[in-house]
Amino acid sequence: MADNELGLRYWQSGRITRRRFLGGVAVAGAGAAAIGLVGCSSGKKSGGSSQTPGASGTARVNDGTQDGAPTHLGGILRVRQNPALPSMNVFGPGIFPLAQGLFLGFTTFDHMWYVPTDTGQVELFLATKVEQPDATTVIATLGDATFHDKDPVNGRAVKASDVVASFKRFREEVGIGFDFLHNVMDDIVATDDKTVKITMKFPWAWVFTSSNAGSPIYSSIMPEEILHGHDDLLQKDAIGSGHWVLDSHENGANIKLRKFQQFRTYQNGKSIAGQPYLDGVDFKLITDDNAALAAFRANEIDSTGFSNRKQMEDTISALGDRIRTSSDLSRDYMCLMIRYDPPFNDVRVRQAFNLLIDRQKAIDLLEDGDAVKCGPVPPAHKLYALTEDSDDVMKEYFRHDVKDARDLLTAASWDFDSEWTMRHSNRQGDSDLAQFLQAQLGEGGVKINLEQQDLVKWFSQTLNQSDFKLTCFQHLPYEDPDLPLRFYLGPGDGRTDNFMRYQDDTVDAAILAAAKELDEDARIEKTKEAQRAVMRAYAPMFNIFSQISFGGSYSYVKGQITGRGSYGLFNRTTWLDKA
Amino acid sequence: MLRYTLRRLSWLPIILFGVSLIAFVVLRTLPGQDPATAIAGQGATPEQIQQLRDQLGLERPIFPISVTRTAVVVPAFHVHAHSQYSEWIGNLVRGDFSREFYSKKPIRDEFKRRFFPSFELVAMSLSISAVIGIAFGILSAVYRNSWLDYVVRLTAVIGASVPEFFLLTLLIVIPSRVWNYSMPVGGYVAPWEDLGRNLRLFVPAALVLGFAGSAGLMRLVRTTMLEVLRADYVRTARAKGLSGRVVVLEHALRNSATPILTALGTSFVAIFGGSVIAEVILSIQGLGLWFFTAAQQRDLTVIQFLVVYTAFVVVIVNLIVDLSYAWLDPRVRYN
Repeated sequence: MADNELGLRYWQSGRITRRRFLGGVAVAGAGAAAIGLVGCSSGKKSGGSSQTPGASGTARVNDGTQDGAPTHLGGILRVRQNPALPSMNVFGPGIFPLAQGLFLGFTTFDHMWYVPTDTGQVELFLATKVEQPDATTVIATLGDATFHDKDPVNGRAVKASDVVASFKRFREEVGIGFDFLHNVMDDIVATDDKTVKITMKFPWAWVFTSSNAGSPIYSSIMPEEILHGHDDLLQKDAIGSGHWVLDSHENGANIKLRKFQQFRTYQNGKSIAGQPYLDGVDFKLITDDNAALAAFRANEIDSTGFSNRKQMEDTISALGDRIRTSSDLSRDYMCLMIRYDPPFNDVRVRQAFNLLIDRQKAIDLLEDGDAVKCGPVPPAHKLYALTEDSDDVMKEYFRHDVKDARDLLTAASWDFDSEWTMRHSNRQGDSDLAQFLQAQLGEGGVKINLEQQDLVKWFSQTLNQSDFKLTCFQHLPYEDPDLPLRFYLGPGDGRTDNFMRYQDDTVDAAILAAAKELDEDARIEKTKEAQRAVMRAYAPMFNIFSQISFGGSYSYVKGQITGRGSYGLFNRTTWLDKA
Repeated sequence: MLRYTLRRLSWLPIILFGVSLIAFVVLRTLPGQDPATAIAGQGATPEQIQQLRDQLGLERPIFPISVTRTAVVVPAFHVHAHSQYSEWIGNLVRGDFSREFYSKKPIRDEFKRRFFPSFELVAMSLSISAVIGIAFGILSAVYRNSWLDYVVRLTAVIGASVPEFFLLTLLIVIPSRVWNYSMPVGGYVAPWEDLGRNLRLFVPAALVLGFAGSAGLMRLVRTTMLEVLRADYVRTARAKGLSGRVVVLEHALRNSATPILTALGTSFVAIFGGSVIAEVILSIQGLGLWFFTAAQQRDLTVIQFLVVYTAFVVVIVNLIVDLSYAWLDPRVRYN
C-alpha cells in the first residue's frame, strides 16, 4: 500500500526528483559563490593610522610621550595571553621557566637597570647610581622601594641583600651555555642595605645588557625570605617590587595584574610619579590566532599582533580610524645551524652551504618581502649590525651562487650521494624554513631529509644536547648583540661548548675583544669586527633574515613605547584615552 | 536489574586497572619520552638529569613485580615495595590524584575547577545533537523522498564529513569578518554568574559539536524509523484512528529507541573527544584544554589521570545506555 494512503505525507505535489534537487543545489551554490565574490561587507574603509617600515625595517621610536600627557588615568588594558604559564615559579623546572621569567620580569619584578635596544644606554631603574671603579667591578646604589604587600613579605623595604639573594638564587639554576651568572660574574655582595657590588672574573662590557646583569629574567629582584623553602608559594604567586601586582590567575591563565600603588617614583634620574598610568592589565588566554584576531576586531582586547602585513591591512580596512597600527623590525631571526663534525669542519663545505642560501628568496617566499637579511648580529641592533650596502664582507656573505657552491663542494670531495637529516621543530615558521632550505640546498646537489620534532623534544634534546647534523629554527628576540655573538663562542676559560660544538680561535678572540671593550665607540667597532670574523670563518650558524612584525591597538590606547626593543613591554606609560 | 548493574560495575575496576596500566607503561617507556630530560633541558648535565629523576621517582621500578632470567632459564621474580605504578595507583584509589609536574597543584583541585566547563559543553552539545538528530531524523523518515528528506540527508553527510576544527574556525572567522563579532574571551564564567556571557561562549561551540554529533544520528534515526513505520502494528495504530503525531512519536519512535540510544552513547564519546578541539580553539579552561596542554608539556601525572578518567566516563556511559534499554523496552530483562 502506498505511503499516501496512510496520510503520512502531508503534500502530494512538489515531489522532488533527485535530478531537480541536485539542480537546485547547484543554483544555490552558484548564488553563494556570487555573494562571496561580490562581498557582503560594506566596502573598504580607509584610515587607520599606521607606521610601516620600509625595506630597512626602521620604525619610529616612541618613548611614551608622543601622545602628550595622559588625560585619563586608570582603566584596564586587555591583551592576549598565549599560552598559559605552567606555573609562576621562575626557577624551574626545566625549560618552561623562560616563559614565566619573561612575563613576570616585565611586570611583577623590578630590576636595577635596563638597556633598551635603540640607545644601548643604561637606564637606571631601582639603582639611582652605578659606578665602575675598575673593569671588573660594578657598584650600584639603590633607591627606596618596597615589595608588594603580600605574606610573608608584607610590603617591607627592598634591600641590597634581596638583590644579592635573587642573583644568587638564579645562579643556582642551570644556565644556557655560556651565561653571565655562571661564567662572568664572580661574586655579588651587599656592602650595606643600599649598595650592591658585582665583581666579574674578567672585564665584560656587556654587563648591563639584557643578556647579562640587566636580564629581564635573571636580574629580577625578589624578597630573599621566599627564595628557598617556599616552592608552594612560588608556584602560584609572584611577589616583587615591580609596577604590577599579580592579582589573580587561573593556573597560569587569564592573568590579572593591578597597579602597585607604592611603586617607586624615580627612574633614570627623573620622576615617574603616577606610573603606571593604568589600573591594571588583564591577560586573556586566547590559544587560537583566528580567535585572537576576532577578539581584537570585536574590541574584546585592546591590542594585538598581526601575522603579516595583509592581515594588518585587512584589519585596517575593517576598523578604519578606530585603530592604530605599527610595525617594527624584530630582533628575532631565522637560522641554519650545522654541527661542526666532518665534513662540515671543512670551511669550503660551510661556505658552499652559505652560498646556496638565497636570503632574498627566503624573504620573498616565506615573509612576502617583509623581512631583512640577517648577519651574525640581527639588523634590529642598529648600533652594531653590519649592513650589506656598507660592508664588503657582508656583501660577500650574502652572495648567492649555486655554481660556486657546487665547485666548492666538489673541491671538498663532498659525497653528492649522501643524505643528511635536518631536524626542526613543529612550529610553522621552522617547518617552512626547513622546507625552503631543503629546496635551496638541493639546487646545489645536497640531499636533505627533513625530520620534524615536537618543539619540547627539539629544544630540550636536539638543540640543547646538540643531537643534530643540521637544524634550523627561529631565535628568540635578544635585546643586545652579545647573545647572538655568544652562540659562536667556543669552550674555554670555564665556558661550556656551544650548540654547534664549534671553535675557532680567531672568532673567539674577536668576540671576546668586543665583550671586554669598555669604551662604547670602540666596542661598536670591535663588535662589527667580530661579525666579520664570524662571516670570514663561515661559522656554522648561518642567519638568514629577521622578520618585520606588525601590531595594532585601538586609538584610545596611548603612550605606548615602540621601537625600543622589549622596553615597551613594561607598559608603564600606557594610558587609555577613554572615560 | 540490580544484580546486572552490580555485575557490570564490578568490571569497572578491572577495566580501569587495565587502562591505567597501559597508559602508565606507554607514557614511561616510549623512546624519546624521558620526562626528566624534557623537563631539565637547557643543557643540563647528566648529573642534573639524574637528580631530577631521583626527585620525580623515575629511578624506582615502574612495576611492583619485575622478572629477570637466571642462568638456569628460570625467571626470577622481584617484588618492589615502592614502584612508581603501585604508589600512583595506591594514591589514586585513596583519592589522591597526585600533582601536576610543573605547577605542583593537586590534580584534584584542578580537576574540580575544570570539570564544570567541560561538562557544560558536552551536555549542551549532546542535547543539541540529540534534539537535531532525532527530530530531523524523524522528519526525514516521515517525509521520505521530499525536499526535506534530501536536505536532511545532505546535511547529515556534510556534518559527518566536515571536520569539527574547520567548523569551529569558521565559527570564529565568519562572524568576525562580517560583523566584527567575537565570542567572549578571558576565562570561563558560570551560568549563574553571567548567563548571557556563558551562553555566548558555549552555545556556538555546542551548536557546532552538536551538529557534528547529530549527523550520524540523523541517518540512523531515519533508517530505523523507516523500518518501523512499515511494521504491521503501525498500520494497525493508524487504522485505529490515532493521529500521525501519536503514531510516530509514541509508537514508532519508542520502538526505534534502542539503536538510537546506542548511537547517542557513541555520539557522547565522539563529542567528548571533539570537545578537546573546541576547548583548545576557544580557549575554554576545561578538561580538554588541560589534556592538550599536559601533552605538550609532558606532564605525565595529568595525562595518566585524564586517561583513566576518560575510561571511567566511557564505561559509565555505556552502562547507562545498556540500563536504559530495560527502561524503554519492557521486553528487555537483565537477569
